[in-house]
Amino acid sequence: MLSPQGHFAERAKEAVADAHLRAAVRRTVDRLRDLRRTTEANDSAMPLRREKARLVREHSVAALPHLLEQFTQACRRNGTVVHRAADAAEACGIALSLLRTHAARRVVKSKSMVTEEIGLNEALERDGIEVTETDLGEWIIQLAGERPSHIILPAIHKTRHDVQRLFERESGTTLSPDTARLCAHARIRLREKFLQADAGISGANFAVASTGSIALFTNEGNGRLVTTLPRVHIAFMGMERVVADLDALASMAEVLPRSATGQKLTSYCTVITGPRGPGELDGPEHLHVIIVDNGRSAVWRDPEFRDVLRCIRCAACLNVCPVYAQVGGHSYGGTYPGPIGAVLTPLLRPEQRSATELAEASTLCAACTEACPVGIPLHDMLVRLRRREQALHPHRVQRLMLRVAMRFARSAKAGALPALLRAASHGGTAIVLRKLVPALDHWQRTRALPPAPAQTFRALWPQLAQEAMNEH
Amino acid sequence: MLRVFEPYDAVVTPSGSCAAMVQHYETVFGTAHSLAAQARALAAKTHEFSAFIVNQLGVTKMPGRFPQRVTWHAACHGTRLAQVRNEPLQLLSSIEGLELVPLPRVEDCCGFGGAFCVKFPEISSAMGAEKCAHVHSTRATVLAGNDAGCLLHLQGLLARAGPAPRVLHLAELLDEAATGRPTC
Ligand code: SF4
Repeated sequence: MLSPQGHFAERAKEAVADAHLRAAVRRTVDRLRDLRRTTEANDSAMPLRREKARLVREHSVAALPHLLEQFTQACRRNGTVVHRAADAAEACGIALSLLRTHAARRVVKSKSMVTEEIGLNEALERDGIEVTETDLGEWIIQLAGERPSHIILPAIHKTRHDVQRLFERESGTTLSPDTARLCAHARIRLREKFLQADAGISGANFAVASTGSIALFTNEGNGRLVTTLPRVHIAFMGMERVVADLDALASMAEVLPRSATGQKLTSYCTVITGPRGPGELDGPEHLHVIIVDNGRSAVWRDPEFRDVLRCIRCAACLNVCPVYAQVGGHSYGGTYPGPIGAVLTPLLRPEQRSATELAEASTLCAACTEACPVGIPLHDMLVRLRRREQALHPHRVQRLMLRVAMRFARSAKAGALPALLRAASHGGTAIVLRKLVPALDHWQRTRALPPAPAQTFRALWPQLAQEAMNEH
Repeated sequence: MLRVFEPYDAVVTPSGSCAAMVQHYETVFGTAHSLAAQARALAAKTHEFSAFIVNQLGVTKMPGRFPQRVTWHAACHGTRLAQVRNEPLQLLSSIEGLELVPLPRVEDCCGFGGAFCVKFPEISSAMGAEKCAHVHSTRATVLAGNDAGCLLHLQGLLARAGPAPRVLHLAELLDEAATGRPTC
């Protein structure tokens, strides 16, 4: 996972000032959430589908060690080799040694967030291996030398003119900024890469314990080429991706696309069980699955946060998040942006101190929790993260301010609040007060202070209570 | 809090956010805490203002007249945490002359968020600016709500930006309709 430079607050401030970025993110998330909402509104079975999906994931997470064992044995039966990696370095190391063994120098990849998390591309490229992302959005990001800014649409912050420039630089040709033409160009270029590749690397949306299969739900068809054309296929999966059986997988196949893009099914639903068998005409000769822990076991052992492992990476929580819409994905400084990132990043990377501030960057509006199809209480988890941070590193100044404010509120019978409001509104005292209390300054830069009431509610109350009594 | 409100039959909060907080007290203390039972008791008798009128008093018709275009800010904590969604709309639409206009993207947070609004003033203001643009698009003369925090923030933003609809708490609006006296 990338170690971000600086703090969320600084990155977010820059992002908010970028009107171009904000408009692009706003357009995309609005489109996605409207698509989801329309599909859900027209589907009376949706509440049931969600409930089933929640139960499937709840069970998957509860039975995780058992299901992983079952998955591994089933894989062994059908000729898939399973590897377990404790952390990013080990996961990359396993892939590298496999590629060396098979003398693979050219790799095509389909979209995978976990390989972003472990920094696989960089590790392979350091070894001189040519890596090509073949998901259109991922390829754009790779050419730009960036990180995805959204879980399912990694390049939402790029315009077609940005894409035109990137493609021109890569191919040394002149292209039109027409979207269809740009796609056609990508298809031709990527087709060459598919045909030359020695190995294909994919993620796994899910793994099926009973059959030892991995499932990919994609829309571009590149996933099929990555997993069938090259002679070696390596699939990476976060250790929580496993579900019990094909019935559980069917529930995921219904709910993931509905929550992500409002589709009833993705264009391609691929279930891979073992490498090419005797007499079969296609498929890779070798199939390896690398199960990545990278902090997940610790989360699994933590009763307050275990449920976050239910996540199916649908990005519904990003698309409804009002903060994400303003700051975009890069501000979060990790692989996973938005509400799921704000919860997951500090849990997976406890040593990365700056990730803990992500929990602060929320109004706790709970739109994420409402959207999440597998019932993860995201906003509650943000509160738990805040509480944990406060216990580990008490914020002294904040506590002191709170105590002063409490004292002030208690003694407010003398009309201190109206007086303070008046003093803070204009004149010399206002300037002094704003210097002394940064919060006041932050408020007043864009917002007027409310007019000071003649009397506080507290002062009015005895009389109001008396009147109410008399009316009875 | 638990002690102060002990002797009363019902506790009414002007903000959905406060109701939600009190209703979740038990999780704050933890179910094993010695005060858990008291917390549960307070939670059960605490109601957001409009929910109290509609669900506890059983009143849905409000007196008076309010011949204006009104749009409603559905605050996140009131709707998602305290589950108060229809009650305020029911009360508003019962008032003679009042024209209730739907707020586009009503489910979006306004950006107040307590300490968030001064910890991340740029993000908070950007969220608020979107909300204000939606409010203006309704051409309402009054923006009403049931969360003091959101209203403070939105009123502050609207007032800074120029001519704007009045911002009223539901209670102020009901009072104005019933008495004919403007609150502010
Ligand atoms: S947390 Fe829930 S809504 Fe967000 S990506 Fe994961 S499954 Fe989807």
